Amino acid sequence: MKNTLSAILPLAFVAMFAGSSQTANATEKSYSLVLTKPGEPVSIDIEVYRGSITLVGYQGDTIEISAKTSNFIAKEKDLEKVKATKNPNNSKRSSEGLKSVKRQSMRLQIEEKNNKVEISSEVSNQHLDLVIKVPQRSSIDVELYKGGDIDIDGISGGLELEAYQGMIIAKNISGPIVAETARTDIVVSFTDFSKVSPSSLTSHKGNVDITLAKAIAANVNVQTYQGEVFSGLDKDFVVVDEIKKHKKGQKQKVVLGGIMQAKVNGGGQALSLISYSGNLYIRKGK
Amino acid sequence: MNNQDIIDWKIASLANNNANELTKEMQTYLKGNSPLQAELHFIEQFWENDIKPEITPSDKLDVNFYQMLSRAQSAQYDSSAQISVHASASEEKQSLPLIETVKRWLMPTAIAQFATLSLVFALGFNLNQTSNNQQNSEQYSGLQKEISSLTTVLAMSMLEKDTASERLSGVAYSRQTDLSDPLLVKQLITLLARDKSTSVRLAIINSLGQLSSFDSSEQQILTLAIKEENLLVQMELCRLLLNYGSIDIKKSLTEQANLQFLKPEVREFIQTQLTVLYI
Repeated sequence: MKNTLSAILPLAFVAMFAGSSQTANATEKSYSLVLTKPGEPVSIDIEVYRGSITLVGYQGDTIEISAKTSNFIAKEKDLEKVKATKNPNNSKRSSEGLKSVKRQSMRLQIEEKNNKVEISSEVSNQHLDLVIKVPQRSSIDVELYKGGDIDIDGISGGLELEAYQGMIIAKNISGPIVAETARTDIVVSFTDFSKVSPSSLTSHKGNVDITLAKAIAANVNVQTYQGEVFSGLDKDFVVVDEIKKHKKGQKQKVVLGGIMQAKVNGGGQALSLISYSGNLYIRKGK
Repeated sequence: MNNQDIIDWKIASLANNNANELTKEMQTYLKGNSPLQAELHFIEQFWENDIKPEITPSDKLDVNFYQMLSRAQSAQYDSSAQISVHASASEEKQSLPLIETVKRWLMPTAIAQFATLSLVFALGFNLNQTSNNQQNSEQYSGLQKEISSLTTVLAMSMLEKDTASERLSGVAYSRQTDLSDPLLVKQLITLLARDKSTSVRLAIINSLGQLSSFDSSEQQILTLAIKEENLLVQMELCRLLLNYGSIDIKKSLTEQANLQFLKPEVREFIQTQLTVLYI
């Protein structure tokens, strides 16, 4: 059975700075989603064009969604893009004597089938703040194109996170996590570390900052081209040389100077931290 | 309840990210069985790619492994019998080597993971023994080949997964093979060209450094490097070609850099790499 909800949320817009910006009064809507198979694995896929996403793990077995629009002040540049005439042959229409009717609804789509949940809002000119309580064991996939941050707390399932403008902040997680930002930071604190699959955090031009709980065993790999690496670990980072092994009689090749690695607590699953120009921070937690 | 039940649970939990706790009955059984505890630890070490585990398992696990292979063969036999109505298909199947029959029987992935782990586990265990027996050595050599093939199958299967983390696992598995399977290399390069995760793409480039020969792939990798828009990926592709490519391909890459077809950061990176290579 497919459980689908399309929530049209009424909003009251008030034009504050006509021609250069606009704001919207905050409106909030909540929905409690009951899973088809309580107690079984849950995967949640979230795609939001503009806004912020906060996910909090809890002991329950429903998904509690709170959606709120917040003030969105568009830059003049953005408005110019919206106003631009697509077809230059179209003549400009007069709006004299007419009043502007602002958009008063926001579409949030939630689908669920056999514990696979999809939450999406692809409206480009509204800012949506989502706060979602999910079962701790949930596996999460989030893509956020514009606006604020992705904030995660207390989720033990796998995480796949992409934020194109905002930060990614994840705490009290165990991964595996694969996260990527363009220019903003990724901040992650691990209370445990998954042995199942590798984890990797990539920020093209932002910093990557992680905190590892004392007992975590992992192979921490670091790679930055123009940034620096700061470590609070007891274990030193060493360069892992690349050695190409070939069958008997053929040449071997050794390339000195590969990635740098620290085997924390004897080593374990791989955790890679990568940035082009950002710094990498590795902290030791409690 | 026996040792195999607990081992099956352990392997399934590792292979499927299954967080199910041991039942009380299993916990009680395990508590008083230290050799089994050691076996589970050994399995976990193998799963985490530790090449030389500190602890070796009991002889019983070795026996279990051969029992598992035997079960796999009987299952294959039963399966072939059922298909025998399709004579031609059946004939084809009977002529398949063991590795193919096991591969076919072992689908889907979870079972392939189980089998691969068991095979790797058994091989590791046996290689840890100090036997000089020639016959055993040949058996192990054969077993090693089959493990390589199964690891390739497993890697290819993981590379098709939906989550980036699982695809990273697939890339990690591919590094455990010698990348001699052209289909695996082709799949890696295809994924390198289209995967949305930078982490996965960088991991693939790292793996491709293990290719024994670049001849068949380097032109394709050069094309990818030139067209690439992701700075990190473009740099690593260039590093790969500069470290492992032929003289001709290095020359082509340098020409591209000189013609300013590459991003300024990448051009600078290539210059630095070339300086290092010539020192």
